[in-house]
Amino acid sequence: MIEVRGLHCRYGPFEAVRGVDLDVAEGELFALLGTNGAGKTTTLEVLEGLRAPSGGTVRVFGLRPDADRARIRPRTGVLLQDSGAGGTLTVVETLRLWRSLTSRPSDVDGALAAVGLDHRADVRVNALSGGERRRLDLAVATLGEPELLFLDEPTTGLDPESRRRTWALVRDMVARGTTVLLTTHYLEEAEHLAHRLAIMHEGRVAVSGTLVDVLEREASRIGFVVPPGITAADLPAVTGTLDRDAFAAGRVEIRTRALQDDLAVLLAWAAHRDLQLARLRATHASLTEVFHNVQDKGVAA
Amino acid sequence: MNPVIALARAEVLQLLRNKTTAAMVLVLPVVFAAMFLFGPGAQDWDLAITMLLVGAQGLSVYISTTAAIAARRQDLSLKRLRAGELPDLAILAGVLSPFAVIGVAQCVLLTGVVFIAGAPVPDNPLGLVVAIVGGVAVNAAVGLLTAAFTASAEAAQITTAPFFFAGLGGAIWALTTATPWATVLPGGAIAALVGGGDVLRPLASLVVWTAVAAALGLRYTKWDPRD
Repeated sequence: MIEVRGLHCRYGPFEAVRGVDLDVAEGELFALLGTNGAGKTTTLEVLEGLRAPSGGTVRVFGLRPDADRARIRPRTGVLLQDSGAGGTLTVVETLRLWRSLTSRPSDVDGALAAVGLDHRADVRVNALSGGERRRLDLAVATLGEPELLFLDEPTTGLDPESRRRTWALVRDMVARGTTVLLTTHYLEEAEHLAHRLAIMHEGRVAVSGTLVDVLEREASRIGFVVPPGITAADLPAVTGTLDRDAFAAGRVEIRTRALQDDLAVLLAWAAHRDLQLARLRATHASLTEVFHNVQDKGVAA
Repeated sequence: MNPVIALARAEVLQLLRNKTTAAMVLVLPVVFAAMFLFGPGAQDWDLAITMLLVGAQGLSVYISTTAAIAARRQDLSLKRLRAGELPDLAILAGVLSPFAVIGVAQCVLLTGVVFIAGAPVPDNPLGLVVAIVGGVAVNAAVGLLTAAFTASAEAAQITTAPFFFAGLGGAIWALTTATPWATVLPGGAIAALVGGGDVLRPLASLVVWTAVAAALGLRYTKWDPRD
């Protein structure tokens, strides 16, 4: 549904996107993660046809977004990163306007209810809170159930309740067959919603794949408090590596790609010595760790 | 509803809800008209009609469209509309058309007031019709072009000054001298049309101005405040 190869995009001398490859399949929810300035919004704006790429090929439904707008637009919904200050139209006037601008048949009352703004229908948009404006924009973007939905930071500025409601709305649309490409810097949003994700850093895709694939890249961790009288030399041989600084500070921290095996070795060792491993913890890597690693190390080779 | 009409309707609603623009559009012509109805009574009716048309078109069409497009760009309306289904031309038509309609209505109203105040009705009203419609078209098209170089609605107060005063200057030039060259400027063309006589030459001037400004305006229109 979306195919991007070697996308470059520059603003004057600054190159915001420096060779991005992306594939989004039909019916998929793809999340684009990254810090501010990673190039997520620029990439999305190219896909939305708002910006011409300075290099590479981009196809949406097999068409060029900048040249084939007329054929792509009737099938897409777009939520821009910034909702703006809003004008003097009311909420319901805004939705009725967009119903007139959209060729898909659409239901204004249903859209209002879906984002929980039915009680604010007659309020002017510039009097809404930032979160309410965001939800109104989401209602506009999802009007008439587009085949492909672009959501640029859909839940930034939302309270937890609205965020959950937005997630439910997006999930329902995906269940009914809509393909979604969203950007976010909330890692739990990607964990909750995405089938596949990519982490962008300085204009490139640093890591991409399913959530499991992405988490696999990062080592798992075993941790516990150093038992009394135990030195580093007393610990059994494991395949993972021991964090020396953490050990000096009183904690055993092992990073390993063989979590189960190393844990078994440690547990057997502790049982043999009759040790209680205080605050024992064994976890696979979190998306947060992958994300921070990308920021620290830059793009993986 | 037709999308362009729906967009134009939304623009009119927003225009009327903004006190400054509403006053400009609704009160200003009434003030002008009152000046003529209750004023000392002008002797030079051609001058009166010309200055009213050029003034109303400059304020209600040229400056207003420039400010409106800049404001719609700043509040991200243009970018949002462009992410929707309407083609560029339809978006601009939707934003511009309320000002064009208001401009024509004001010009008709003001001209009517001048006739009520005692001006002789011209034998051939075609020149007057061309002056109203053509003048509005030029001002809307140049407004579109000026907006491409106007960062905000506030900046429009400065960026619109040259063409606005060129319009008035052209009119005065045409009214005070007999040179046919004044017709090259839109204000001069309006004056020539109001004065009667040859319609073709000033019409050609207005058509060229409109076509060139619209083509350049479309070419350079900025949709995103970041660009």
